[in-house]
Amino acid sequence: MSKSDVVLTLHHLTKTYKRSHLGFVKRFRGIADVNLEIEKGEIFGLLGLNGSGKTTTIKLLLGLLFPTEGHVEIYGHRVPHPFAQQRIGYLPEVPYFYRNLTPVEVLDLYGMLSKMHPKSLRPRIEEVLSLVKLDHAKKRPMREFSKGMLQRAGLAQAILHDPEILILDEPVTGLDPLGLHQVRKLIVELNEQGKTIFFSSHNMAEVEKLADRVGILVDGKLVRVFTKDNWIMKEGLLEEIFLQTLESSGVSLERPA
Amino acid sequence: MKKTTQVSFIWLVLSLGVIFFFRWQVEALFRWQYPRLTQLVPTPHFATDLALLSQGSHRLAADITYIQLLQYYGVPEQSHSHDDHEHHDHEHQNHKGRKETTSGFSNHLGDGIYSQLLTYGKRILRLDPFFNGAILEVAGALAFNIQRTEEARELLREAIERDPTFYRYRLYVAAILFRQEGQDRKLLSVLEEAIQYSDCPPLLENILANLYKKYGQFEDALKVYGHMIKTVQEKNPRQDAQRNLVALLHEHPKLVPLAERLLQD
Amino acid sequence: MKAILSIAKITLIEQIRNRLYLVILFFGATILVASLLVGALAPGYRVRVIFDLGLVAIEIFGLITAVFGAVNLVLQEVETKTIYLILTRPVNRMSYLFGRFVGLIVAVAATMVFMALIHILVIVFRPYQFQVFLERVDFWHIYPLIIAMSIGKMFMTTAIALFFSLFATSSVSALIFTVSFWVAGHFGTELAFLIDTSFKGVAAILVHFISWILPNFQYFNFRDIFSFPNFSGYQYVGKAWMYGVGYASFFLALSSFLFSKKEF
Repeated sequence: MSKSDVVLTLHHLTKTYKRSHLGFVKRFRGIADVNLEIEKGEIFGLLGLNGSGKTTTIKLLLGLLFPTEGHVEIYGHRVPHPFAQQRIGYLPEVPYFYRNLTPVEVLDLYGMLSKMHPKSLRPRIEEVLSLVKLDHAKKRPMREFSKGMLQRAGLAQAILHDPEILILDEPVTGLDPLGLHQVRKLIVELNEQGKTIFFSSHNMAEVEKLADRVGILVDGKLVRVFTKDNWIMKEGLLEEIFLQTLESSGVSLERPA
Repeated sequence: MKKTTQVSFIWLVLSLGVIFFFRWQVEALFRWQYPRLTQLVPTPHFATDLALLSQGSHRLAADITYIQLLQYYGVPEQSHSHDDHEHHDHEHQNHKGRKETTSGFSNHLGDGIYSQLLTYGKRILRLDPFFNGAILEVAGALAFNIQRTEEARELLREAIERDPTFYRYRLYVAAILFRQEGQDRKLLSVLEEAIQYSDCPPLLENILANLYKKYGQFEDALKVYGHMIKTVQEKNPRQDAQRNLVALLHEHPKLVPLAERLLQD
Repeated sequence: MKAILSIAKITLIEQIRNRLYLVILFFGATILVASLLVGALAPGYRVRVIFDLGLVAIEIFGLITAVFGAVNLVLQEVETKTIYLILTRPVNRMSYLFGRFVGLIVAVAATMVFMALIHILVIVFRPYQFQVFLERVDFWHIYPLIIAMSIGKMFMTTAIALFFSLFATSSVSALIFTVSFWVAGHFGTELAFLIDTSFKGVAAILVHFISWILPNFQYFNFRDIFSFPNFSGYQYVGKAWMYGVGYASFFLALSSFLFSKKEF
């Protein structure tokens, strides 16, 4: 992997949460000493159990959290940096929007904030809404949107400014099979355009179909990173690898009674 | 991150500088003229006064006190047989032993002792010393209706102290003194000046009209009643003025054309 | 600048479409019209009572809009996570905060101006009494100034509320702190008097210096002080506004610092 191909670098990234109560300070590990490089045009899937640190990692990439140690670089700029932020599109697990605004108004705001030119912004909003099949609802306030519509609106705002890197937090959670198919198709299309995709997920099947490389987080540590060569030969192999990795990291596979 | 902290710090320091500089500038020009909180009159309504003052509403606090005053003073405290259709002249002896006539006003205000009237007056004065009209009304009621001239003078003395620019307080002090001394001619000239102003209480206009009648100046009395009918907003004094005008026209029919002209304008 | 204006515009639209805002506006207008009834209780001073009550109502409703708006401005965004999609964009956190503040202030000023227009209609409703009132008060000069100075108060209070919303642990405590500052700001002259009587010399100067951290809203209370004899408020309007801007700026700087450290 040459340096010019690397777009996203996690360098000894550590996040420890502090909670104080009646003078006592408790520390919780979010993630610990995560090192990772993501190449341009790659689709990277981050797997882990609930509470393993997936969302923490994503928030650190976006500058919503500040690392306790280490740093994140995007195109060589330490996060948060306007150069980096302009090239990222982010889809949260559950997208929240201003309830009383319409999708057009919301996308107009996000487009302006992403420094898009006003002349190109309006046509792009129409294009993106059409792409995510929300053009029929463009003048409705967001409070009237269903969950699926909100997810699609989330995708719309993530791709509005044509970012080079897409960071997706559980992009297929809660979607019906049709929605799932549409999102998967969109991700593949975007990747074919040269975009780098970094996503986290529980959905093993989707990760198997989409990812070029997978990382497994266990208890805040990135214990294993491997390419799709490892599972491409056999369906369901990714789940086996995941469970084996958990076991070897000391996680009990038996659920408590 | 460090840069943001530096910028915030510089911004903070500059803002502090602006605050202190302009506050110092404004302090040089600003002069607070309302009485201190410690000077407020302690009454059962103190909490209301304080609540209003806690968001800087001296004028409104005084307005509410004035409304409370009208409600207090508007209710007769004593049963009183009172013929509504004519005003009463009460004869009594003044402090020098001379018989004198005072006007009883059939506006239903002042039918009682009203021991709290001065307190209300002081409360208004200490909430808003520039609510001159209300203070004059209270002083006038104390002096001319309830005959507690000392209280009226006490109120006016404090009013003059708090707002020495409002010279009409001194006019009223003079009116009270002249009335006490029985110097009706001097009182007449003082009242003639007082009624030039729209905030002159109706009871003083009534006193003036009675004095005009006493000295045979019936046309002037008619003009005063006509002015009251056209300008006084309170229903009772206006109705009293109408009745007095009708009574005057009965006694002096030749004044009818003048009355018609006055009321037409 | 574009980012600030975009965020300000969205904040304003959000406020106007918020049902709570419309309810506040409705109640404010109702109170103003109802002041006609209160005025009827003070014959002879009807217009004065309507004038005073209306101005206080305009300020109270402006305050409610400003404080509730400011306290929830950032807190609600954090709770609903709408802030994620803003801060992940190339937007300076300071610009975001400033844009929200500007949008809210415009919404508050619009509320107060709207209510002022209704108030004027109510005042001139009875032409004769209004004419009498005009003899005592230079209404058309003083009224716009009173409203402008009340808006100045809201400007400062909104900045204070925004700071406390970032500093306090809940919206209720932020509300309580802000209202405490509001009340304390109206006792500035009393405080100055107490300091002068309790301290002397260097101690008095030091305590005065500290007390100047509290706002003095009495400078902006034109609705109460215009009736002072030889009223000199016109002279210091510009300086009072600069004081207000400096004060708001101070709390915005503090808010900006706190917000830059905040994690989501």
